[in-house]
Amino acid sequence: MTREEVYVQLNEVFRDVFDDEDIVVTDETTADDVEDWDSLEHINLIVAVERSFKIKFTMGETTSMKNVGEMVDIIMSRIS
Amino acid sequence: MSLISFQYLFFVAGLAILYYILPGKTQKYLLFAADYLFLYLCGGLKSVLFLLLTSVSVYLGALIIGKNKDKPITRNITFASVFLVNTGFLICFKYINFFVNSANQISGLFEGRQFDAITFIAPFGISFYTLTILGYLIDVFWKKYEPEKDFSKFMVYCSFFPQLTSGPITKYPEMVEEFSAVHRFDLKTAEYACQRILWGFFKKLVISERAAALVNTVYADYETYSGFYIVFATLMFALQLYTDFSGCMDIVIGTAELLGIRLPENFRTPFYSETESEFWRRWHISLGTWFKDYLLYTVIKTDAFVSLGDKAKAKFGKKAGKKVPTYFGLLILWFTVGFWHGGLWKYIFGSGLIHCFYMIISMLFENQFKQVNKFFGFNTESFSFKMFRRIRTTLLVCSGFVFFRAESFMTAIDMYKKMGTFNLNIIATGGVTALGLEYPDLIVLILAVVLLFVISHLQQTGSVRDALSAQNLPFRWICYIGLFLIVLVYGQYGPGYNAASFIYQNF
Repeated sequence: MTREEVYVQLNEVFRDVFDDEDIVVTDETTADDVEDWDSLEHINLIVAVERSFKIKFTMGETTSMKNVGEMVDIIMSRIS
Repeated sequence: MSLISFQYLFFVAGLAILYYILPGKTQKYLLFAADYLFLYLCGGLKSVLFLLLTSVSVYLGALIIGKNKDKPITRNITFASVFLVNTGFLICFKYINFFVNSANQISGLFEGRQFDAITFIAPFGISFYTLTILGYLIDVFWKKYEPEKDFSKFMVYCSFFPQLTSGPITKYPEMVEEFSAVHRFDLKTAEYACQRILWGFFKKLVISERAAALVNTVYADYETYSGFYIVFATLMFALQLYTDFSGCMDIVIGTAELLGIRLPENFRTPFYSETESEFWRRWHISLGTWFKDYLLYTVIKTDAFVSLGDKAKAKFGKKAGKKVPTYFGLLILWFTVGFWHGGLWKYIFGSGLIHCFYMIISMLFENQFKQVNKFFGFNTESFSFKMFRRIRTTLLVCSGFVFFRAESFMTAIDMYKKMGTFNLNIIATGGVTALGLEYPDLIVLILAVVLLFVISHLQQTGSVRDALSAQNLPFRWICYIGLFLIVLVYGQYGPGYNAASFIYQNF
């Protein structure tokens, strides 16, 4: 899966979790850029991404991702 | 040794002088010695031994976990052993009687044996340092970073003396270099630190102790002081608790600052919050963060909770169902937060479950609330609407404080029943002056609260200490000396004064 393909799938996950069809995420996207992406929704997002890509984030990765780019890096390393 | 005592100020002053006079590389060792001396003075040899035991066991456990990355059995057994032994200590010292009482209640249903309560005096600071040190262990187990090999660095991190009283609970990577770096004396930093400590003394001695007099009178005799007295006393308790705990944090953070160490903030003007969720992100921040990171996230990520989400979506639809794991996760989180405060139902409910209930209601009916606002054409960005939300949030939080302060859960229920007496007229008839504070003390309290409000309001826009330091010298010194004299003259030292302990030190 290419990085672009990951983003296509990831956008769907974000739109589903946050109930917003207009969300488009990039490497630089952080919680400040998405309405309702607070600490509660973060863990729900993590679980949704895990299910969508059939991967598991470690707890360390869950609490230390700084932006979507880091999340995608981890996804790419898990699925390759 | 209390934080608001001359002994403490002399201790800190003496330490600061040695700290900056002696060679920089000895600062770490001097701090370590001061930490354990402080602990010995506050809690005796038992407290010293328990902190040593916790620190050394976690240090060694983390090293073993780090060395065995590819051996899951070794890692898991080591982690479980060290974690359970240290939480076991905490449970034994603090919560054993909750289990004894619960066992007695169950046994009582069958007329079975009743067990005696067990009296353990908990080692000083155990509630706070256990979370701090176990947080490090969990992070290493989760492979967030490599375990610390430098024993002295780790030991200094575990034992920083002002934190032992009431936190804040810190994270290892954020703090380890702060404690072990060499710090040079900086006059501006020292001035800021002293201002912060003085502000903490002001909050504790001028406001909190005065408010406590009103609270104690009503809560000790709510049969007499019913109706609006209880409402008033609960609002005063919110003031007392906030100024007590945040004042303690000012002294702790100011002390650290004096030694060149930056601790994280534990309060962010919580009564400006517009929702319960926001309030608990601004009150006792480090405790909430710890339980969110290590408990809530762990629970929600389990297969059981993922499966719960699937079942809930199938039953209630996708939109409603996906929130169900969050609700159950919050229940577990807030039960534990309440339990951490004490193994009594008044804490479990008043500091935990009631706030969880409010947050779940808020999430469940979020859309309905938005529709109501839209229907009535409310401008939700207006000042008046924000004030309404802040007052509403304060009242909701205070509804839990009734349980927190009352003698027991059932006493709080009784107090709620007694709130029904309509006696708002006590404000006009001066009934408030019969609650243990003379009229001049009430005036001091009101003026002090006004000052607190002004400073809190200024803090919304930036650092008050920066703004003050930009003023001319005479004005600055009038403020500093003025505040010092206010604390000296109007500090509520009480008859036969013994340095009063901070409320959260008891946890």
